[in-house]
Parts: sequence; structure tokens; C-alpha cells
Amino acid sequence: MAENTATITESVSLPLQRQRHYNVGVILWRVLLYVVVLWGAVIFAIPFYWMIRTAVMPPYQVNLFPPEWIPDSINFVNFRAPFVGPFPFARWFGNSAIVSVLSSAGVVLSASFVGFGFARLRFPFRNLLFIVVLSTMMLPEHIKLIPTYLLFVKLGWINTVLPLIVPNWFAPPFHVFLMRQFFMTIPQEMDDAAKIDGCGWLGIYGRIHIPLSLPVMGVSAIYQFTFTWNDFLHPLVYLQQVDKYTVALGLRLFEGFMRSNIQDMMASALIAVMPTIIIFFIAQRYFIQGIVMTGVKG
Amino acid sequence: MQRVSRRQFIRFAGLGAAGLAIAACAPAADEAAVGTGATAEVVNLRYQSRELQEAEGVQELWSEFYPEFKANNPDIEVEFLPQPGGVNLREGVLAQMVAGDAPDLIEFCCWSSTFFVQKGETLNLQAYIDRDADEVDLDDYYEGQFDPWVDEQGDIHLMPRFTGTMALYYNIDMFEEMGVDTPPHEWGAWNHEDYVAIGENFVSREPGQPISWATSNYGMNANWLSQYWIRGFGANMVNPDDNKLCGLGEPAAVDALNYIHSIIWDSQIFAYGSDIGMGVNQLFESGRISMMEMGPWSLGATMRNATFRWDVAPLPMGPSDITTHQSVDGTMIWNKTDHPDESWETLKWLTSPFYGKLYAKWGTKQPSRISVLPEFHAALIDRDERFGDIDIDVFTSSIAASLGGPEEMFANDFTCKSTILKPAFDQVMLLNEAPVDLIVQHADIVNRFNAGEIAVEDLGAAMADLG
Amino acid sequence: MSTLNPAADAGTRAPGRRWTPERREALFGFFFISPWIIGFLVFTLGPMITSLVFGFYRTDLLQIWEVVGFKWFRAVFTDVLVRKAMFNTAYYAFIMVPLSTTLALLIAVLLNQNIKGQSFWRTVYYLPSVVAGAAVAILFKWLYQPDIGLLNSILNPILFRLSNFLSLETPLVAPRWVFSQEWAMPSVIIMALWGAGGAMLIFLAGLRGIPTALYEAAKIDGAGPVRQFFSITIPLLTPTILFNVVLNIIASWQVFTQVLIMTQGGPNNATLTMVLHLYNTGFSQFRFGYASAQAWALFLAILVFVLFAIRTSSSWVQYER
Repeated sequence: MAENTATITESVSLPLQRQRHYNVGVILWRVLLYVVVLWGAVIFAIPFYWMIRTAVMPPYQVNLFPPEWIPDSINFVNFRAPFVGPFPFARWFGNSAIVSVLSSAGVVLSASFVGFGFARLRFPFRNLLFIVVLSTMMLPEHIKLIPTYLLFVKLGWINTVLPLIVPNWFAPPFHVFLMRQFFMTIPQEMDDAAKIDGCGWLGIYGRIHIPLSLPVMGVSAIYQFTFTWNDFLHPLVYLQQVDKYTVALGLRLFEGFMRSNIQDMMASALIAVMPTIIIFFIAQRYFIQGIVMTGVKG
Repeated sequence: MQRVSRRQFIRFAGLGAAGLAIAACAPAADEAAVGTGATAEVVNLRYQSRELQEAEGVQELWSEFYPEFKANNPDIEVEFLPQPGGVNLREGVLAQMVAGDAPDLIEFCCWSSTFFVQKGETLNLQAYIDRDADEVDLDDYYEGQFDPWVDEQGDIHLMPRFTGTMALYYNIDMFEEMGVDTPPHEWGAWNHEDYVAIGENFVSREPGQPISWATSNYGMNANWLSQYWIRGFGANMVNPDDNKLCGLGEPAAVDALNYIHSIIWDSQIFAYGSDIGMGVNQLFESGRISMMEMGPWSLGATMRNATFRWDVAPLPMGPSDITTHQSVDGTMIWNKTDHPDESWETLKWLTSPFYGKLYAKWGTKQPSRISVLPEFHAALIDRDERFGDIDIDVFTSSIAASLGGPEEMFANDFTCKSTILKPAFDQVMLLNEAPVDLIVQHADIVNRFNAGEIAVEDLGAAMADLG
Repeated sequence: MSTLNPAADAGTRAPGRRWTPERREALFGFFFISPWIIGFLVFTLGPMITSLVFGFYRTDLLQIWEVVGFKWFRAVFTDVLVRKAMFNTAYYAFIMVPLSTTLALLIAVLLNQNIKGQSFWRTVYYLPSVVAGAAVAILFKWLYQPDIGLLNSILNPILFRLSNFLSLETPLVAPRWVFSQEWAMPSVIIMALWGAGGAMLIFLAGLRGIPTALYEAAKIDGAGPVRQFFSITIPLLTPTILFNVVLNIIASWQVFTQVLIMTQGGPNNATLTMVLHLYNTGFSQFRFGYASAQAWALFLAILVFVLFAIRTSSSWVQYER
């Protein structure tokens, strides 16, 4: 897979392969690259490291000054608290998983479909409608909160997970835009070729655009999964009973329970995001590298 | 330890399942109530708790309280809804009120409680209170308890949930290390000048070194935290006779503001702005400050986290009055409830001595009823015997003697405090960029705004005119 | 753009030619976007119109419903506080959009190089955008605390020694971050930059979509890496750049959570942003009419900038055709 990877570096290393000596410029470039990536990573990892460090270090060390980077000893006792407390943690976890998975699935299917329509087909008012798609993101969420709540009351969806899932099956604008931008980079000739082979629009979508867009669908799914998993405001407004809570909501209950203890807070925040991090770590290999395998080698 | 937790878990889950069952038949029950009217059917109530802290104890509390309540009120089913929203509670409840499906009983704290009275969403409880005067017994509460919850006629709209007193936590080890006498334990036995004198022992400020202060609170802003100091100087932020008037222009109030400014910027004993920096609890628990102004709600956390000996003392008094604050936490009945009588019956139980004792025991909350106060210390010791060393009397004696008062609320409270006064407090107290006089000028804007002379959309211009 | 004029289309309608390829395409077009149309009509349009209607009332949504006409929409233009909030928001957005887009692109290009452990690096850079929210804001409050926070505990001793070394009369001191009117907004921006990993991800997907063949062809033509970057990578990435820019504009103009948790808009309204202000107006003052008018003013501002980005994009965005 690595050989297939399209990068600038490859072209740089070409003279290296030909001449078989060490090119000083190339070595310098590689060293510089690793140094920059490493330092960038260190800076980006600081907040996360600080959370972990705070969660696992002995209590006396947390508030020392100057602040200490390395814990004297490591204990995971703060991570246990949400699990042994009086909370139906497994249930929240299950709720979050259901809501996040179903939301992601809905987003990927519907937004890809709609995105294809906006990217590839010509129809009246297409550009105007597309601006409308984008504009629905421009009105602050809070101002829509109460009207939307009233709507879901009318539908009888309060205290169910439906308000968190169903709208995602109707092409949220962020994902429509993402898909559209992606489809617009696929060469028109591929559509034309498919048309000549007798494909209709559904065929072009299903046989060419879906396979080619698997990576971007992956990005879409990861985005939505992460968003839904971490969302606090919507579950808060729509779910009132403890057994319906999601993890993001439930852990806040726990946070309040230990309010002034920053260690527990960091631990519970880490527990809350851990699934999304793990899923990202596993899934990204496939969806970011997938493109090379499906190959737009045209 | 773990076995207990497991039991609690199961009980909690069971409670959730019960809630599910109630929700499933709630619409049907509503229709039935409309259709059949007076027949003695079971009434379903929803009780929106604001309980965040010690949630574990609250489950225990509820499981002890509810069977007793049920035995006496077989016709009422109460569903307990906990609250993870913090400040977002208002959004959720407002949405529910607009949609017509808000809970029957709702707990609020601080200005939110007064706010819904002002908005006309709370049930007037006065007739019920008069009818059941024996059970309610208003004499069993401290004097100012109901001040934030009365309407223009003086009728009461909320009942208290618990009443926390602001006191001074101090680090005995740090006092001993510095060779400083610890504060006296009688209210009124020391004053604001002693506070500075003691505090100065702990202040150090060397160039290139981090500063150390002596004390702090959540952040003395245009809120209840500076209000108790202002009262200690014999003034009020909100005019007690007219909540449309701001008292910060009074000479005594200016003295108080100057004092607050001096302990932040001159003697520097007071770490300002811990509300937007490190929390005051962290400062105290890590030994960065030797004292903190704090209520009994932090007793549990401090006991859990402090690695030094500590105790509580009364706050120092001001030049003319005792300086303290009694927290404003109460329960309202939504006035559009289908079941006002049953809701009142439930609220009466939630403010009964029976509940107060359980709340002290399981929630470590300081009771509102004076008759239950003596049980508070024992309840704490019951939870953790180390509380035997802490002078809990400091808190309870202040309620029994009606010291201090609740948060003072303006008409249009948020606009007055946060939109108008806070920017002035920021410039004077936090940034040290303007004299105390700026707050006085903003107080005048509060008055003109409440008198209708300045429209809300012109507030920015009025404040900008002050420079 | 305007290739399809429905009026012209209607004019050419002839009884026997009802299913021209154009009509067929248009029909399929609506078929493809129908999920969005249904969702828009059911879930979005109603609440949007409702909020607009609120703007014509003085209302707390509970007891007070008083028609005030265009009063709030006019007030939005004269209210000094709204102007201040608009300015703060624009300040944030004008720095944030170019800075975070460039940063995300830079990281994506770096991580797209042939380096070992790509999955690991990607995860590290992506992490902060996932761990967003209250925990990170509290963390940064801690880092920023001007007297004893981590940042100044590093900066101040260095500046102190530097001042001694230079024998300055007044020693240099680090900024007071969120405790200062000048530095409060930059503090929020710095914190927000940690979230660049989200946009990075989309850039990475875009980079991977560039056909390898193009680079191979360029190599044969003798183009160096820099040349390839500017004549292949950037042009082919322009659709993705447009996406990130537009999304960034929309998000930056609605910055809310960070300021709510970090500064509540202070000190002295230095970080009062539009959404925070309209949130206060609505949910704290219960003036939902005015809050709605503010929201729609913000809506228009965002729309103008997004339209500007999209209109100008035709000159710099390359789509495959």
C-alpha cells in the first residue's frame, strides 16, 4: 500500500533510487520533516496529556506550583468511579452507541445521495437550493432550540432517541456539502463512459460514485459519530429520564456529583471520548488509505 | 464498598425502569384526568430535581423518603428527574414550559428561582401556606428566607430546599506554620480589618516568583459574593424597599467597594477572579490560600481532598454589620400543572422536618428548618466521623440567629447584574483600569433602565458614554 | 450556473417531447435531493420561520406577546452592545478562518508525506478536536491563569531572566491572557486552533483523492516537488479548500461554547461574541424577540461572507469537468 501512496516525497526520492548515493538535500528534508511533525504532535498532544496526567496523578500533586508534568505515581482509581457509582453507565453507553451508529449511517446514506444530486445533475434552481442547504447552518442553534422542541413535542418524540437520530437521515447540510465537493472532483469522463455503457443516473451513482467516495463517506461517518457521541445540548433538552441518557449527558451528572474534584472531571471526560478516539484510530487506516486502493488511476 | 455500590446501582436502575413505566402511561393518565375529573385516580407528578452534588446520597435519600411518602399519599406517584444540565437547566425548563409539558415541581437556585416568579410561571403558594400553617410553620425558617420568592403582593411562591451559609474555611497547618492565631469562632468576634491583618501574613509577591494570596471566594463580582461584603458595610446592592433601585451609589456601599478593591489590589490578600481562573476550591485544597469564603456545600469535597488540618470560622464582620449570605435554593410548582393540590402536598413533604433530616443525612445539606438544624452536625459525622473536628455550629448558628441574608435580586436581575454592572466590576476589580466611581455610575444606569428611561437596546450606548 | 432556465424550458415544451434528456435529468435531480427537501420542510423550515416571526414580537415566549414590527431589526443596527459583539465576532472570524485553514492544510500536507506511523500521528493531531468542550476549556483556563497558570509559570521566569540580562528598568511580564481586554480574544483563538485536526482530516481525504498519475506525469515533465505542490496539489485541492473555508466561516461566526466556558464574554465584554450575546438576550433575559432579530442579523452577515467566498471561488476553485 505504501508504494501506491501518492506523495510529493516520492518524487523527491526518485533521484535517490537512481543514483544510489545519499543526497544531502533529501536527508535534510526527511530530518526536518520528522522534527516538524514530532514537535507539532507534542504541542497538539499537550491538552490531552495534561488531562491524562491530571486524572492519574496522586491528589497532592495536582495543584502544585510550578505545575508538575510527570506524576509521582499512577493510579486509575478516578476512572473507576463512574462505573462503581449508582449510575446505569452501561445503559448510557448503549444509548450513545445506538444513537451515534444510527446517526452516522443515516448521514452517510442520505448525504451521499443528495450530494450526488447537487454535484452531478442539472435541474432548475439548483444553485439557489444549494445556497439554501448551506444557509440552514447559518442560523444559531440556540434560536432554533425552542421551535424545534415544540415540533418534537407535536411529533411525540420527547424522551425518545428519535430527535437525535431521525433528522440525520435527511441529509444534514454539512455532509451534503462535503459529498458534493468530493463528487465534483471526480472526472466527468467517468460518468460519460458509464452512460455509454448504458448506465442511468442511479447506475452512475451506484457503480462509480459510491465506490469512489467510500473514503469521504468514512470521514463523514467519523465526523457524525464523534459529534453525536459528544453532543450535550440536544440530549439534555430531549431526554429527561436517567435511563434514556447518553454518556455525554450522564457523565455530567457524575461530574456534578464530584464537582470540585478536577481529577474525577478529567477522568470522566476521558472515559467519555475514549470510544471515539479508539474508533478513529482503527477506522482512519481504512478510510484515508482506501482511496488509493479504489484508485482514481483513470 | 463495592457491594453497596452494586446495590445502589440496581436500585437506581429500578427507579429508572419505574420512570419508564410512568412515562409510558402518562398521556393516557392525562386524558383520564380530563375525562373523569374528580374520581380518586392515581396522579402522576414529575419532580425536576436540581440535584448535582452527592447524587449517590440523593438516591439513598429518595429510597428512604419515597416509601414513607407513598404510604401517606397512595394517590400520588412522583417521578424523580435528576439534572445534569447545570446552567442549561433554564433552556430545558423554558422549552418545556412553552410546550406546556414542564414538570409539576421544579427546583431552582439563585436568580433563576426569582426569575420564574417575576415571569409569572410559579404557583402562588400563599393560600396553601395559610391553610396548612401548622405543618408549614414559617417561624421555623430564618427571617430573610422567603425574600427572594415573594411577588408584588408579598405572597410566597417557592419553598426552600436547603439553606447554605457562607463561612470561612481555613487551613490550620498554614496558620501554625506562620505563627498566626486562627480566626475566632463567634460571629461578630472579628472584623474586616482583622481579616486584612491576618491575611497579610500569607501574602508574598517577589518579582519572577508566583504570587501567593491569603483568601478568595468564587469571584467577587456583581453578584451575591460581593453583596455580603456590601451588607457588612451597612449598604445593599439592591434597595431592600424597591428592587428597581441599585444601592451602590450610597456612601456606605462605596466604602465597601473601596474595601473590596483594596484587598484585591493594595493588600492583595484576596485572589480575584478565581471564577475565571483556577477554582477557589483548588486554590484552597492545594494550600495556595490559607482561607476561603465558602458555604457548607463544599464540606464533603474539602474533607475528601484536603491533605491538611482545617476548620471553619465565621466570616469577619464589616464596620456595621455581620457579613454573610444564606443560599437561595427552592422548589416551585409550575402554575400550569394539572394537579396543584397534589403538587402542594408533595412540596409540603419535601420541606417537612422528616425530609430535612434525610437531606442532611444523605445529601449533607444544611437544613432550612431551624428545628432540624441541630441534626446537621450529627448527620455529617454519620457520613464521615472526621466531621467531628469541624465546627459546624458556625453555619447553623447563623441561621438560628437570622444573620446575613439571601441574594438580593433586581427586577430584571440578569440585565442589571450581568449586562450593566459586571462590565464595571470587571474594569474596577479585575482589571484595575477604572476607579470605584465607575461602578456608581453604572448603578445609576441600572436605576434609569429599571425606570424605563433607557431601553435595553440603548444600554450599550449609555455605558459607552461613561468612557 | 444558469444553464437551466425553467422559463425557457417551459417555452420549448412540446406534446410529443415531454421526456427530453434535460427534463429527465431535472426530474432525477429532484429525486436525488428529495431526502434533503423532505428533511428541510419537516425539520428545518418550520423552526427557522418561527424564529423569524419571534423577531417581530416583544416576547418571553411565556406571558408577553406584543407585536413591535421591525423595532428589533432596526435596533440591531444601533445597539452599541450588538455592534461590540459583531466586532468581537468578526475579529475572531477574520483571524480564525485563514489561520486555522492554513494550519489544517499544513498539517495534512505534512502527514501526507511518506512518514512512518502515519496512523499514530494523524490520531495525535486529530485528538484535540475530539476532546473539545468543557474539559478542554477548563484545562485552558488553568493554563492561562496569569499568576500561577502553567503558561506563565514557563514564560515569566524566562522574561524575568531576559529583563535582567538586558538590564531593563521595568521587567518584561507575560500577558495576563483572559484577565486582560487585549489578550482575552487571542487567548480564545489560540485555544480554538487546537481544534484544527477536524479540518485536517478533510484535507487528508482530499489529498488522497488526487490521482497518482498526475504526479507521475509531472515527474516525467521534470517538475520539482515545489512546482508539483503548487501546480497539482493545490489546484486539485481547491474544492476541499473551499469546503473548509466555508465551513470555517460558518463555525467561526457562531463561536459560543469556548467563550461561554472560558470567559463568559468578559472581561468588560472583550470576548462577548454574537451568539453569546443573543444567548444572553434570549435565555438569560428572556427577550426572545430581540434575540431572534440578532440571530437573523448574524445569519445575514454569515450569508454575505459565504456567498462572497462561493462567488469568488469560481475564479480559484477547479472542478473536474
